[in-house]
Amino acid sequence: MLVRPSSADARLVALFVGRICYLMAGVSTLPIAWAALGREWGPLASLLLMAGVFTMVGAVATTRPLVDQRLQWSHGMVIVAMAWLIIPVIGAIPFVLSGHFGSPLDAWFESVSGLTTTGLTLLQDIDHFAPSLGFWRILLQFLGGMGIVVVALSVFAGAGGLTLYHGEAREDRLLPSVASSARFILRVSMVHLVLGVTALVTVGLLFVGFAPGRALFHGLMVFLAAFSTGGFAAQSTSIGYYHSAPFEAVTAMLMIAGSTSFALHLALWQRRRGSGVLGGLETRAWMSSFATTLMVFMIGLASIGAYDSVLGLTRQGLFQIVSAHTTTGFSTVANSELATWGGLAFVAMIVAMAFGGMGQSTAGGIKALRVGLTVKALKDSVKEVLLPDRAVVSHAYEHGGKRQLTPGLAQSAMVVSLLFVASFALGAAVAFAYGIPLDAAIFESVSASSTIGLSVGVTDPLMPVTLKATYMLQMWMGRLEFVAVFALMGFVIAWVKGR
Amino acid sequence: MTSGRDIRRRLRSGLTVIAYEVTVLVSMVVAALVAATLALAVVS
Repeated sequence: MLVRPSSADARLVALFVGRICYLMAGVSTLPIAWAALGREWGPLASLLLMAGVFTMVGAVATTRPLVDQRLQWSHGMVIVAMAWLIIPVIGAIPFVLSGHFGSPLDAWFESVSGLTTTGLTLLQDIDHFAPSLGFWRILLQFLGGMGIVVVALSVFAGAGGLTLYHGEAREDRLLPSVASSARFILRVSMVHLVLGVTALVTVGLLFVGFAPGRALFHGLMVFLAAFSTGGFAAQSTSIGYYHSAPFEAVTAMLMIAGSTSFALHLALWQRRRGSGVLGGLETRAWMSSFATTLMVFMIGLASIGAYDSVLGLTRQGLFQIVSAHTTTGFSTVANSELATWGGLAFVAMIVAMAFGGMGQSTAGGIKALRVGLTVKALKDSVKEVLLPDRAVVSHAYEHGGKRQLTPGLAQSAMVVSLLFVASFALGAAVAFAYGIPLDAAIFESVSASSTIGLSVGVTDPLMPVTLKATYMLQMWMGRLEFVAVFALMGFVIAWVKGR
Repeated sequence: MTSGRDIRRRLRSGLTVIAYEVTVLVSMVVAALVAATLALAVVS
């Protein structure tokens, strides 16, 4: 029998969603200030309207305060899933009013793609988009990458923070308290912000030939999208716009930093040796997958004659595979060129995109730890079959210290991996049903589910509404790794059908 | 208040993180050079 959630449950969910809306209203002041300083009056009005709606929703949701604000597991999941649903709707207001989108649905798609750090875009005439709106679009990615809930936790951490933290697909606390973990994530991000923007500005000035103001604008935009592994670019030609190997190198380093587990950042920050993180299962799984997909990708590109020099192949091949594997989605080649690669190069990119980055990072995809655990579980099972009955097979693995691979853990890793595969299949099937070639349908679907943003041209303002909706669902579910979304569905069903 | 020792410790920590990231990138560039050379040799 389904138990209907009480009104206190609903008010508790509303209270926390409202607080997150207040936070978003506060963050909106950044693009508002940008628009005011740049005298972009139209965008300023639309951004003010958005901030007003965030504040209004926050005020309505937090009207009736609760004495008991303790969150249970289900509350946390529902709050996170709802926040990730509501914020893109309100966040799309300036996009709708900009006139750069074919419909409100396209603007919502852009907002979902931003917050989920995907990077698939329906923005038309990107090169003439107002800078303040461009900043808001990329800031959405940075907020999504950091995790709006993590940001919220560092502001108003309280009882039940752990459930919110888990809701956003973050598994382990880095530090003893959730608040200190959230603050560490913000600290690492801020250090990278200062260093990353400085490096990009320097390279922009020295190698790209930018004036200081322009170098700062591009440095900031590229940093926000690279470190959040989002991939929105300020130009239609993405990173290819800069025509600079040093710029690509710094961008690649930021993408790698973004897709690196914050647990690994912590181990490095504390200069811990032998912590089991640097040489742990997750790091080894990511490195092995990266090396394998890189090699296959290079052979694929060489076999179709895409590049005939070692340096050309190294530069283009490395950037694309780093972009795919870190789930960023930046590109140095046009979508139309990407679509011609096919064969082995396509397979390598799809596998890299599907596996994604490390857990506890800004990256998406199945994640290296789950891939590592699945492979280890498989290896252990084979060993148990092949070795004599009395032999003892060790199920230990390194991940921040020695851990045991229990059947429950292996099952959990495999279930999430399977859900990702099901999501890939869903998007591919819908696109294929609309007549998109199967290879392109699979590529685009994996790109949406794993929150990458690389496109072979399927994502287009003219694509069918059902396909747009499917990709939006995939991005939302993929970013939250399914559990929080299922919890929200269960909450709604219990509300309607429960007693 | 942050002491001089704290600042030095944080600087060292920051440098460790950056050194790791630069090392990873350099390793990847070397791996990509090797992979590209091998790939072109295989298909030629």
